[in-house]
Amino acid sequence: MLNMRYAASAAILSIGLLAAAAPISAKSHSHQAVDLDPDARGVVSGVGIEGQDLGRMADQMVRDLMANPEVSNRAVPPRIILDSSDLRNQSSQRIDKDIITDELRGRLMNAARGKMRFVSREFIAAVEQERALKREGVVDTGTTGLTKATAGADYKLVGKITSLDSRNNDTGMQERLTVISLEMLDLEYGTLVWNGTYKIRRAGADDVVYR
Amino acid sequence: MFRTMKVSAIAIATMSLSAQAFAQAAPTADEIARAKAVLAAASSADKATLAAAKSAEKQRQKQVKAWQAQYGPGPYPDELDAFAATREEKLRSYYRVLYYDGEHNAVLNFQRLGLLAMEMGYYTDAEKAFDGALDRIEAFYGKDKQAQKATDTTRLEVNKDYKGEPYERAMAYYYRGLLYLRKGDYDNARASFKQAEYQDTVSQNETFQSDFGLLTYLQGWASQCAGDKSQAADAFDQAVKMDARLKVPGPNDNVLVLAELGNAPLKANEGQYKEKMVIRQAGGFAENRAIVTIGQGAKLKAWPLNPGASVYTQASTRGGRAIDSILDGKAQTKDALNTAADVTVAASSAASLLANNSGLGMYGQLGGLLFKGASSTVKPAADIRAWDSLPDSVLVGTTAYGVTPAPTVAAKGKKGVRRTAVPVATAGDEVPPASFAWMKDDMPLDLKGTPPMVAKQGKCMIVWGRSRSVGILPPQAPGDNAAIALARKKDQAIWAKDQAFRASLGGGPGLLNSPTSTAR
Repeated sequence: MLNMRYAASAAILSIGLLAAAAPISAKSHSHQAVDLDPDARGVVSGVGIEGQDLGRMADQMVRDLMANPEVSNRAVPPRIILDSSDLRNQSSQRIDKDIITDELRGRLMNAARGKMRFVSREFIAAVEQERALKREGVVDTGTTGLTKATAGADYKLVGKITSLDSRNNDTGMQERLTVISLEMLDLEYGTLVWNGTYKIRRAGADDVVYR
Repeated sequence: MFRTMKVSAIAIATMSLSAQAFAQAAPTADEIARAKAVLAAASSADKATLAAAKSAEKQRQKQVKAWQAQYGPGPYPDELDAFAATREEKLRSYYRVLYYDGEHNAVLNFQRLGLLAMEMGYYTDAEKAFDGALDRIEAFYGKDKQAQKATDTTRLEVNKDYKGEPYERAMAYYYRGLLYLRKGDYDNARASFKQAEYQDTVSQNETFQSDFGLLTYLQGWASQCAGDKSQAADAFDQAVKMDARLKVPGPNDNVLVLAELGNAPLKANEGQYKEKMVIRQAGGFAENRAIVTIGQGAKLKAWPLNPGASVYTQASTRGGRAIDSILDGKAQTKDALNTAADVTVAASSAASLLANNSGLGMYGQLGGLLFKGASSTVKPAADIRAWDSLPDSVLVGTTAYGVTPAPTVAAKGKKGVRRTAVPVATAGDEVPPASFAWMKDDMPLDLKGTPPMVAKQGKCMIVWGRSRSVGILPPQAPGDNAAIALARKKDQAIWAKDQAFRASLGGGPGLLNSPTSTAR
């Protein structure tokens, strides 16, 4: 009889403990926003270009470009246009090309330390507006003085993003090879002074219920 | 607000006193009394506000209890109202469903919302909605709990989060591609059409793999608009090989017209235990042709469009799905258990008659009931949630509008005089009006259709319209299972996932700060 009482008490206690633990278990399943390393693989993934690829690609391209004496070791720092206007996306992935060129420009500016100058054409309207105000005398000349014209560029970054998709219908395995190919175009001679290629080959299969 | 009033009152009083300090050595008794009165008034207002807030909170708690009984853990009507209020009025009912359903039907609800928004001209909403759907379609749902449930013998397939059949996924990419064309982003338009075509390669039957010629044709169109002539030529060649009804656009063509006819293919259950998902062609529409009219006056152009694609054909030629064998297995298990129940009952009845022992019959009946009970727990029914706002078919056409061939330039070649013509745009970026006439064969129909999307933001113009409006459909997609939806709410992990989804939509505590829709 006494044993039964103990057993009943233990059962009640266990149920109580389980009930108390329920909120903790719920917390462990929480999907609240978390900070992730931008250079590490994310929690959601497919076969396309992902966040972690951008950093790696930019690092490799910057190293490559800095090792090219024609661009990075000139007595007078070359002027470079580095935006997405001539980066073509021929791949099968929808992508905002600015994210690639912005990442690259940021890292290149840090690495170049004055060995290259970057010309912005994206915001040329803002430059023209300020120049007009200075020349009309509405504002003063600033601290760097007036120039005849805005900076002309020596080089422009051009390139393509291409991809090759394949699928095995028996296993549901999908594979994509993405190639980001960038080139530095001499804007006077039309020659290419540098080429860098970054490849991503990624495969994965969705759950059987989605095949 | 009253707290602000109180602070302001103190500030006013303080400022007043400070000013007095400048004017005189000390404030008068009258001024101090006035400042005290202001503070007292603010304090009593504050108390009243606190009391009102407490009472409102009590009332809400009471209401939440009633809602809990009616709706389970939520989301409750007030939360839905607050979320919907931040959206465009005409899209609110769809946004409510999207918010309420969570991740389970997110792809389907995004697709339906995106198409409605596109039809009504809320293009920012449409872009975001299709991006929401495509991001989920592209992500791998590996080791997903809900996906695993769908394969469980005792669970329905509808447990899985919806991703749609290949034709539905392809059409989501198709619409996203059209929205990119509208913005003049030809690279991403081409990427979308490529992915759309890739979805079609899922077909088990090799004859029908990559047979969605319109998607290849649209890749060619995006390439032509982007200035990639060789890529455009390749894609057009390939498209015409897939579907000979497609006509290669002229080199100067700068207007793409797409007209969508009829109603979406229907999904239905077949088989003894509804274990098969079959596609049927929808009825209820007569239109099979369309004539487009662009511009007015001397610049008016009208011509009949060519067949571009049959969505029904794409939907119905996929072949088997990988999950079909799992569902077949479930159906066979159910069948075997039913047969076992019948055999047990029949055999025990026969044995009890032969042995003249009624106990045997009773045991047999009990065994039969057990088998029947086990059979009833097996759930082989296929998931038939469907994107019901798709069209039955798409017509396509292109033309050169506002482009006049330049005077031909004579050039002497080895074989005599060669003439070249360089197109000159004359209409600039102005967008001419466009309309459709819907027809059955050669007979015009009394069908208004939807107001066409007409846009030109880059080199090319796009005209897109539908013979049937999405707006007449209910905000809920067909084929969902209310019991499953309710059961999901009881799973804390799923609930947390759905709450995270709602937060990503702009719901939750910061609900009223979420962005509003952008009208056309």
